[in-house]
Amino acid sequence: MCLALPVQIVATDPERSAALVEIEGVQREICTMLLDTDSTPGDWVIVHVGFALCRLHEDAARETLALLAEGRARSQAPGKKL
Amino acid sequence: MKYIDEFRDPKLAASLLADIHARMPDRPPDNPLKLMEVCGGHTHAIHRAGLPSLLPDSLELVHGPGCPVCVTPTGRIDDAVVLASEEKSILCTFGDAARAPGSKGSLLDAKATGADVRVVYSPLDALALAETHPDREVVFFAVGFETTAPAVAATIVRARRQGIPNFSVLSNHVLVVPGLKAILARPGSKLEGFIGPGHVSCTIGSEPYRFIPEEHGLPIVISGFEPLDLLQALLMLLDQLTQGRCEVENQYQRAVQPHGNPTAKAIISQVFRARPHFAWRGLGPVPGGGLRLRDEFAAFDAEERFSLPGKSVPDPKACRCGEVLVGAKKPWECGAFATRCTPENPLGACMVSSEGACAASYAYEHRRQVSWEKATG
Ligand code: SF4
Repeated sequence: MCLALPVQIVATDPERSAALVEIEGVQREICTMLLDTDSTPGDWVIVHVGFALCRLHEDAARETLALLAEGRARSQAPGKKL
Repeated sequence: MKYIDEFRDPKLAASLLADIHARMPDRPPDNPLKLMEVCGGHTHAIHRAGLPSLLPDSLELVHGPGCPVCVTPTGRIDDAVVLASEEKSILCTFGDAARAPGSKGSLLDAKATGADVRVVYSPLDALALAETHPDREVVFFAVGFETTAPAVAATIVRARRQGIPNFSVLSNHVLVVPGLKAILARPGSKLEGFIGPGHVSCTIGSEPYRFIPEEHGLPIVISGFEPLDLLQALLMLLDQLTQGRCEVENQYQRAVQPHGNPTAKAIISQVFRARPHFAWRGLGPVPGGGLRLRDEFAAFDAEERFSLPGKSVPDPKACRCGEVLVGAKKPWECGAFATRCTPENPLGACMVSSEGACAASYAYEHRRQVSWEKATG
């Protein structure tokens, strides 16, 4: 139900709060009125039931991946046993 | 960056799994570490990635109440069936909600006997139907958490702006924090931490979960939906537990901000108000657990515009959903599991949608078990 997908915006129509995205090779229009800032083509957003719910931040994604690649979730301090 | 493939790398997944095994605290098999994934989308993703059989035996993932179709009470489905059966009406809803059983069948059953029920992808599709069918009453049967509520609110605002008189919404929207409070208040909950819902948190942010560490002394890590996200979130939970910390942490930083999406939150509170109580299937009445349209939007509120039976229908006696939801029982410990209750013929809430705990167990574990039994005679 909360199924939502990352998609890239192909074109925008700010007047109608609409954007064109590609989902699995099919172009579809989504509504962008829930985003707090204007979107531009190339932006990635999370789409749910035809609405862009939020923007995806590439810096944060890269940071998460870097932590993963270093093999640590957050910290590696030796812990006490429960 | 494609935001999907990068978070499915099998090599990284293997090393995260090894870390989880290495950092898993010693626990006797009869007292496993119980962590709840709140969101039904996570339940589905966890099973799809095959995580239950890869994780340590002493780590048990408890499937939470985060499947909005599953928790929609029977009486509300009955109301929708009544509305759908009106000659003038077109009843629109999402696919899962159309399959949810009421006491006299589902919306799809009503469709089979002639009701005009349409499965839509977006609430905007329902609004468009109202525009093209001015002689009909188009009702959108809305289900969903804070992920879906802003989209429905935005559709209602648009309906008002465009002056579309024949569109209304039957709101069954539920809120995740009151649901979590109800779970934590149930006796028998041995939960020791939570994987927080990713997409609900895109709207509400990470701040509203602070009561979990502050009032219950438990950790919560908000997670994305890819295998690496979930494994990293589990590792972050294990780190908190083994280091004696309990905090709200956010693994899904690429999408979730501490205060969420202010525009989405504002439109929810513009259109909806919290109900004093809303009954959840499997949990009973949850204080502040549901959303209703505000009086200013009464013209678009199906509860105001139509007379509905509004009966509360008790959950089937045999159904153990309430215990399944707090991790006190496994789906297969319910007497009805896979016999009287199957995805084709769900008896209880957790079997209704593919995101429900019993449906996920049925799809991914029961079949495997059955074929194993067949193979071994
Ligand atoms: S198997 Fe069916 S009846 Fe039993 S707890 Fe699950 S949903 Fe309820």
